[in-house]
Parts: sequence; structure tokens; C-alpha cells
Amino acid sequence: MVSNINLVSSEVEKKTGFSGKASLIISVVLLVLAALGYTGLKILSSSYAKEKGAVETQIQSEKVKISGPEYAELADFQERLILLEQIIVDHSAYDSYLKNFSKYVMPGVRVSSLEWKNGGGEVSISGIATNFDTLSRQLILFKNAPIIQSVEFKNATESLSEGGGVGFTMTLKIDKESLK
Amino acid sequence: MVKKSIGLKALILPLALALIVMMIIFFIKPVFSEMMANRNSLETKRGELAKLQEQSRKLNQLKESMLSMEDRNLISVALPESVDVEDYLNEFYQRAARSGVLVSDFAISDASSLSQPSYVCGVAANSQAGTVSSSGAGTGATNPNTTLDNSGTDATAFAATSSCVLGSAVSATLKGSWDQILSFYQYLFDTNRIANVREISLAVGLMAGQALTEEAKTDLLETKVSLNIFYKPKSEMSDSGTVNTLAGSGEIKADVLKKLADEIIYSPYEAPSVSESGERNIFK
Repeated sequence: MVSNINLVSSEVEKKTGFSGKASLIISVVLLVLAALGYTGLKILSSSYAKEKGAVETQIQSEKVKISGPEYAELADFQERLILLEQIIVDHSAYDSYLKNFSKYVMPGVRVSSLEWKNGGGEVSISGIATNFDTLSRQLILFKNAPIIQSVEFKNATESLSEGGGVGFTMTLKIDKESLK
Repeated sequence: MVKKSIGLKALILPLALALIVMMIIFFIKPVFSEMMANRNSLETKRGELAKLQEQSRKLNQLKESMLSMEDRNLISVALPESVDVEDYLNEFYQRAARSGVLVSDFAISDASSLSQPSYVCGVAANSQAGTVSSSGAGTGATNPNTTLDNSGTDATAFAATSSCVLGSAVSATLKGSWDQILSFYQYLFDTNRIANVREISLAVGLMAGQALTEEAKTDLLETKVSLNIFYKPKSEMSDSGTVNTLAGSGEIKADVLKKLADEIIYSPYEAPSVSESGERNIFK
């Protein structure tokens, strides 16, 4: 004779027990959730990718618009301004410099030729002074003139012709800023 | 029966969990990573687009600001789109006539020395520039011996880039008194088209064979000027560097325009005013 002895009390069995049906339902629900999660992520990913494609197209069209003819006039205008800014650095006012320079030429000295070279940085001068004393004082005046950086005396020759005087040549280095 | 029930309970759930874990590892995680990558990439692209749209908005504002600038035409005169030899010749003769100096020689040609400043394009670009030459005495815009050749103008256009200009060398010989020549030098500075002096010489206008002595005094002076004039072909497409700088800084170099308008560009011609009574001493 076989006797069935249940060692577990009925309360305990209720608490821990899962019926086969419940386990099946839980498993199916979990699997469905996992499948839904997968599908949701896949849809979201594809939606992001699609949106990214649309944004890329917009970026491309903006780039084409910016580099195209729409702003070409503006860019060209700005380029001209940038270049002109560089060009006018070398733009010099010789009239005002000459007027200023003439203040440093003594009455007894007459310039016969002036030649600017090096974009205005160097001036070669030749002329005639009444005598050597005037010429020497002229050299000192040039040397002390604030618009002249240095004086390089080349030569002086006494003229034997009727008018007389002392012919001279010299080179002056001038500050280019004084030509602005 | 008891064994079957326990087996079902024990197997279905762990099997399902194991399946889910496998799904997570092999399917959900890669898709999640892909989704996150797409999302991050989308955010980056959105940021890029927003930046470009902001650039575009700034450029639109700058364009409107540029179009409303009163003096903007000065720029196209100061730095024209082509060599425009005729225009410069005309301006030069007008300035000479106004100062009263006598133009005895005038020539425009390409010059290798133009390649020296950093803002001038290479020598190859200049080698085909238009040439002009004239000789003989004359003041004002009338000089029958002037010849023009602009055949190289279009050919040089290709060589210009956004960061450099093309140029031509001008040389001229002029005669006049001290005041007239000073006035002409002032015109050279207050010029509509920017011309930079390369070399300049000024000498007493002695007669042939005349020696320089105290006696040989004359009011007539002779000056030789060598100038550089510049031009820049119009850009048909925007230079990305310039556009980016423009959009970044958000401003046009208006200070250069102001400097040109206030300090360099010669003021436009104004008709002389006449006294209402009409009475005046014509010898004063």
C-alpha cells in the first residue's frame, strides 16, 4: 500500500509555487517584451538614420548655398577690403614729406635732384651749396632732423664754372612712416 | 505527474530567461549600440546644421549691411575687376592737367618688381597684363601718341586668387614748377584708384648740355614716377575661407572702407560756387 505524505504545508506551497501555465505566460510575456524592445530599438535606430540623412541633405544644401554665388559678392567685397588694407600700407604721401623735408634744407643749399628708392626708404640727393661751410652745416641739420634716420655723405666738389658753389651728393635713409 | 509539473516549472522560465539573455546579447545590444551611434551622429549633424544656418543668417545680415553701404562703390574703383588701362590713363591725365604739370612720357606694362609685395600674385600672372605707352608733350587727357593693348586682360583673370591682386607698372615723366609738382604728388596720394609709388625722382629741368651752377636757376622741374596699380578679377564663387572668417567675425572690414573714403580717395568733383552778386576782384 502506498501512502502519499505531503510534507509541505498548504500555505508554503501557495507562496512559492508557480503553475506551469503561469511560468509559460511569464516566459511568453518576457519574450514578447524582449522582441518588442528589439523592434522598438530597430525602429528608433532606423528613424534616427533617416533623420540623419535628411539633416545631411540640408547641410549639403546650406554648404552649396554658402559657397555658391549667393554670397560671392559679399566674399569678393571682403576680399577686396582685406587686400586694400595691405595695399594702402605701401601708399605714401610724397607731397607732405617733400614740404616737410624742405624745412630742413638751408637757404644756401639748392637741391638739383632727389631720387626715392626702396619704396621711399632711401633718398639720393644731389645739389649745390654756396660753400663748404654751408654744406657741413646742412649735413648736421639733416643728421639731427627727426624725419631722417641716417645720412650717408657721398662726395663734394667745388665747381669751377662761373657761378661757383660746391656740388654734392648724399644718400638719406628715411623713416617710411613719415611718408604716411 | 509530480515530476512533470516540477520539470515544466523548472525548465520553461529558465529557458525563456536564457533565450532573452541570448536575444539581449546577440540582437538587442547591437541594435541598441547602432541606435545610440545614430542618435549621437544625428545630434552632431544637427549641431553642424545649426552652425551653418547661423552662418547663413549672419551672412545674410552682412550682405544687407554691405548693400546699404554708401561708399561701397569706392572699392570697385580703388581696386577694379580688370586692368582698366584707359580709365587709369584718363584719371592720371586729369590729375596732371589739374595740377598744371606737363606729361611728357607715359607707359604701362607688366613688371617683375610687382611680385615683391606679398599681396601681388606671381610674376606669371602679370606677364600678360595689358600695356600702354605714349610719348610726346601734352597735358590733360589729349595725347595723340597713346596706344592701348588690353589683349592680355582676360587671360590673366585665371591667375588671380582670393588672397592676391594682379598689377601693372606705370611710369611717367612730368614737368612743372615746384608747386605744380607738389600738387601732382598730392593727387597721386588722393587717388581714386590706388596707385603705390615704387620709385620717384625729381630734378631741375636743365637744358641739354647745361651745367648745374648757381647761375643755372630755373623754375622748371622734371619728375619721373614709377607706380604700381592693381586689379582683382571678380570672384564668381565664394571662397570658403573668406566666408568662414566673415561668418565667424560677423563684420565687414568697414574700417578699411572708412580709411579709403576719409583719407585716400579723392573727393568727387564739385562745381565751383559763384558769388550771387557776381562782383569780385579778378586780380586777387
